[in-house]
Amino acid sequence: MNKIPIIIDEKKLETDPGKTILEVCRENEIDILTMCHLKGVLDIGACRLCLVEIEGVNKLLSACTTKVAANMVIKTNTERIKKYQRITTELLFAERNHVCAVCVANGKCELQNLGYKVGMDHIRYPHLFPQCEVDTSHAWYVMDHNRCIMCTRCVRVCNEVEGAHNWDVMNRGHQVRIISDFNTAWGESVTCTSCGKCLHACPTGAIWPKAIVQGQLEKKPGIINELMEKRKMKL
Amino acid sequence: MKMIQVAFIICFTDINHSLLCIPDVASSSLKQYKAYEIPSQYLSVVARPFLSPHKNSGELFMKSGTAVLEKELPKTDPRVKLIAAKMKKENYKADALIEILHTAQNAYGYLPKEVLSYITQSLHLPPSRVYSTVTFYHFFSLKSKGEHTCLVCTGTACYVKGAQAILNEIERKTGLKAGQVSADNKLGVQVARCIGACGLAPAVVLDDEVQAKATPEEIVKKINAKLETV
Amino acid sequence: MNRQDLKTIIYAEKTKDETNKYKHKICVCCGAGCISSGSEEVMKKLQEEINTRGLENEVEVIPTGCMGPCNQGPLMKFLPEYNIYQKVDCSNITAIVQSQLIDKKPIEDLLLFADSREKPFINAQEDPFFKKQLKIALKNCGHINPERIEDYLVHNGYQALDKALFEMSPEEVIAEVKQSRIRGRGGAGYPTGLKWETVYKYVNEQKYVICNGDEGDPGAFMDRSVLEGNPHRVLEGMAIAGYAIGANKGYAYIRGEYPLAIKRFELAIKQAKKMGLLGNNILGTAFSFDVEVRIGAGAFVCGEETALIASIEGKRGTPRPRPPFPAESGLWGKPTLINNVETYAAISPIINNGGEWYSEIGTPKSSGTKVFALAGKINYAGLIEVPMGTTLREIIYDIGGGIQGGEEFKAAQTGGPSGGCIPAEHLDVKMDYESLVSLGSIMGSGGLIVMDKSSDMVDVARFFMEFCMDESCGKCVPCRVGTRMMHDLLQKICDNKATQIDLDRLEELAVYVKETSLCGLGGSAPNPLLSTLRHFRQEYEERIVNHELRELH
Repeated sequence: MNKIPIIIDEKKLETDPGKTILEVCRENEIDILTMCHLKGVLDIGACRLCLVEIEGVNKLLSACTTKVAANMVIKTNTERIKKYQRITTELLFAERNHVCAVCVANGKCELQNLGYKVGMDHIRYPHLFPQCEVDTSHAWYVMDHNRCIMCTRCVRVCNEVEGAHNWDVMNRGHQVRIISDFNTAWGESVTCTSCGKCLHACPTGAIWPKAIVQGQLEKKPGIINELMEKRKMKL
Repeated sequence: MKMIQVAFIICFTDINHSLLCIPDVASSSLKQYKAYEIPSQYLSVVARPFLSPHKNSGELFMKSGTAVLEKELPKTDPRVKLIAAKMKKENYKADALIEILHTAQNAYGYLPKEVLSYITQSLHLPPSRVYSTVTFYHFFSLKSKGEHTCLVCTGTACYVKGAQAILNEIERKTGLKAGQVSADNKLGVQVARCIGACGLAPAVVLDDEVQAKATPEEIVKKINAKLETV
Repeated sequence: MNRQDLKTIIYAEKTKDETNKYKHKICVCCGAGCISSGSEEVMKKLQEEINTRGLENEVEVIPTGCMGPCNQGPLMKFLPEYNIYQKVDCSNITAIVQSQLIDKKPIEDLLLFADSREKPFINAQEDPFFKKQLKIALKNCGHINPERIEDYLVHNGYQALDKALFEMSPEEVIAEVKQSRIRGRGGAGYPTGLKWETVYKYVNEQKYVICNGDEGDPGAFMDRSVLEGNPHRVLEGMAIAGYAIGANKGYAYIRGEYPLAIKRFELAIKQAKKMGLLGNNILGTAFSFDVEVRIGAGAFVCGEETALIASIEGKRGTPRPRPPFPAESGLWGKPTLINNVETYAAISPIINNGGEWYSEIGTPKSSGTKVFALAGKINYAGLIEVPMGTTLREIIYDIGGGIQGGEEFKAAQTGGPSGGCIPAEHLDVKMDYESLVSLGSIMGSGGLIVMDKSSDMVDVARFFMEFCMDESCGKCVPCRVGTRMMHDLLQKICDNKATQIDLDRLEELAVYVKETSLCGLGGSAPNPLLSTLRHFRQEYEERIVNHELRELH
C-alpha cells in the first residue's frame, strides 16, 4: 500500500494508512502519554491523556482512536496539551485514595510514572476520599478499589482476550466501580477463570497477587499483546 | 480422560492457556466501534474447564459462560411468564436486554436478583454485563420502590418554581430522603430529572398520577391520605 | 395497498369531511399536560352533555394533541369559531355547551387568558400568543386526533411520502432537504441535508434510520408534544429519510418517562403498517421500511448519538470517540442516520412545499421554525413555534405574556444543562444558532426557562452541574471527575466558603472539561457555569470570602 505523508511535531513522516496516530507516534519514538490504552485490546479513548491537536480540527482528538490521514499536521506537545495532561493526572490522583508509600505497585506503577512525567509536584484539587472496598475474597488475587483509576483495561482483557467477562463497570458518573458478576465478591464469581490477565493489564496497584511484598509486584502488560500475536500466528 | 485433565491443569499454570481454549476474537485493528460480544454459543461449545482456586482446590470444574441459577423461579408465576414471553418475542437477542428489563421492572416494580439471573441465563449473557446495564439506567432499581411512590420532579422549570421546598417538606414530615423507602415499605420518595410536564411546574407524581402546580402542604396531605387508606 | 387505494381513502375521508354532518367540532387537548389537569374526565363529561342534549349528530368531539398554552389546561377548542376555553372542569361544561352551541355566544370569562388579559380574544387566532407563531412542525397538533391515521391523511398526511416515492429519486429528496437549509433540531445544528448525503454516499446493503426522542433536557418537552400530538408526521419523516438514504429499518428511541408518547407512536406504527404505508413494498413500490420503538431507560447521556446507539444495542449508554461518525459506522457498525424528532417532523412540509419555501422562513443561516418550550417564571408557559430569528423579547413579552407577577426579567436559560443563560441586556437577541452561541449559550433542543430576580445564578449553575455530575456516564476522566470537582467548588461558593483561588480553579477546570471531554455531555457541561460567570460574575464575586488569596503559580 502507498505510504502517506504526515507531520507530527514539525517532523515529516511517512506511514501506512489505517494506523492510529498513537501507533505512528510510538513507531517513531514520539512520546504520547496513555493510561487506558493497552496493546492487544480495543481502545476506548477514555483517559484523555493522549489528546493531540490536529490542524483544521477545532477539537482535541485522542491519538489512540484517531486514524492518520494524508497530510495531517499533528501537534503532541503544545502548552495547552501539557496543561491538560497535568490536570487529568491530578484528577486521577484526587479521585480515589492513592497512597503510593503503602502501595504494592510503588515504583512500578503507571499512574505514579505519569505523575513524574507531567511534573506533578502536588495536587491542587481536594481529594474526594471515597469509601472503597478491598476485595480479598479471591484465593490468589486482591482487588483494591482505592487504587483503581477506571481505565477498564481489566474489563476489556477479561472480555476480549480471556472471553470470561467476569469484570464490568457498574453505576455511572463518579460512582462507577469495577464489579465481578452481580457485584458479588471476586472469590464467589462463577465466570472468573483465575487466569490472571487482569492483574497484568492493570496499570496501578488495584489488582495484585496475594503473597507479595510491597514493591515486589511485577506487572507485564506486554503479555497481552504477545498473546494476541501468538493467536494470530496460530490461526 | 485422565490425560486430558492433566493437560488442562498444565496449561492453566501458564497464562497463555487461553491459546488452547478460545481463538482470536478481538482483531487488533481499531474496531472498538464495532458492537461485539463473544458469541455466547461459543462459550458453551468450548466449555472452559478450569482449576478453581477458591472452591475445593484441586478439583476440576466444567462451566459455561453464564451464571448458575440461584433460586428456581416459579414457572407458573404470571410475572415470570410475562418475561419469558417477552424474551421469546425478542428472539433471545442480547440487544433486546433493555426491553426485557423494562418488562421485568414493570412486572415486579424492581429487579430481584433471581429475575436478573433468569434473564442472564436465558439470554446467554455474562452476569456482569447485565448488572452493569441495570445499574447504568435510572429506570431500573434493584430494591423495591415502596407500595406508594412519591416522585418529585426537580427539572429546571420545577426547580425554579420551588420543587426543593416540596422535597424539604416531604423529608421533614416523613423523615425520608430522596431515594429512600420507609421501613414498612409503604412509601418511597424519589426525584426525577424532568418528567416533561414543565407547563405544570412544580409537578409531583403520586402513584403515577401527576399533581400539577403542587404546594408542599397539599402534597404532604395527599401522601398522608394515601398512607391511611391502606 | 397501492397508491390508488390511498387516494381513494383520502378522497372518501375528505368528502366525508366536506359534506360533514357535524356543524361543530370540539377539540379537547389530550396532551400529557392537559391529561394531568384532568382533560380526559372533561372529555367524557362533554360527550355525555352533548348526548343528553341530543347534539351527537351535530357536534364532533376530538381528542387532540398539545395546543400550546399548557399551564392553562385543560383546554377546549370550538371550531370553526376558534374559541378556546381554559381551565375547563366538569362543573362549567354545561354552561359552556349551553352558551356556545345553543345561544351561539362564547362565555368571555372562561376564554383563554381571560384571567390575565384585560379582554380575551374571542377568536383565539387573534391572540398574540398564537398570532406571533408560525406552526410547521406542530401544524396539526391540537387539530387532529393523533390516534386516527385518517385524520392525518385528510390533512395532507403521507402525501410527501407519496410524492417522494413516485415523483422523486433519493438524490432529489436529499437535494430538496439540502435546499431547505434545515439544521438539526436536536441542539448542535448540523445541516440535515449534508448528514443525509453523507449517509447516502456510504455503500452498504444495510443502513439504519434512528429517531432521537430521548429528550433529556430538563425543561424541554417539544419532542414529547410532537410525538403525542402527531406521531404520523414523525413516522412519515423517518420513512422519507429511509427512502433517501437507502435504509429499510428505523428505530425510534423514546424516553421511558413519556408513556403516552410511546403508546401513541406504537399505535401509529400499527396503523401505518395496516395501511401499507410502512412495512414491505410501501404503496406498491420496491421500497420497504419498518420502524421499531426502543424505550429509553432514564439516562440523559443517551441523547448523545453514539451513546444512543449503544443503548439501542442493549448496552450501557456510554459514548465512544468520533470519528468514525455514525454516518459511517453506527448501529451494529452500519451507516446510520440519526435525527431529532422535530427534524423529522419538518421533513414532510419541506417535501410537499419545496425546500425553497422552507429556506425563506427564518434567517439566512438558520432557516425554518423552531419549537420552544416556555417554562419558569412566565405568564403563559407552554409550547410555541416561531420562525428562527424571532427575538427573545418577542417570545417572552408578546407570546409568553411577560414575567409572572410583573417582576423584572433577569435571565433566560436555553439549551438545558448544555446551554447557558441570556441576561436582560441581550433581550433583543435573535433566536438562531449563531447568535445564541455568540452569547455563550446554545439553541439546544429548545427549552427556554425564564428567571426573575428571585433566581440565584450561582445556584442555577450549581443545579446544572449537579445534573451533569449525576448524568455523566463515568467513562472519561474529565467528565467523571471534573464535573464532580466543579460541583464541589460551586457548592463551596454557594456556602460562602470559597476563596479567589477556588474561583480561578473553577474557571480553569471548566475550560479543561469543555475541551477534553469525550462526548457532547462533558463538552457542554461547563456551559451554564461559563455563561453565568460571563454575565453574572459579580454574583460569584460577592460570595467569595478572601479576594487577596491568589494562587502562587
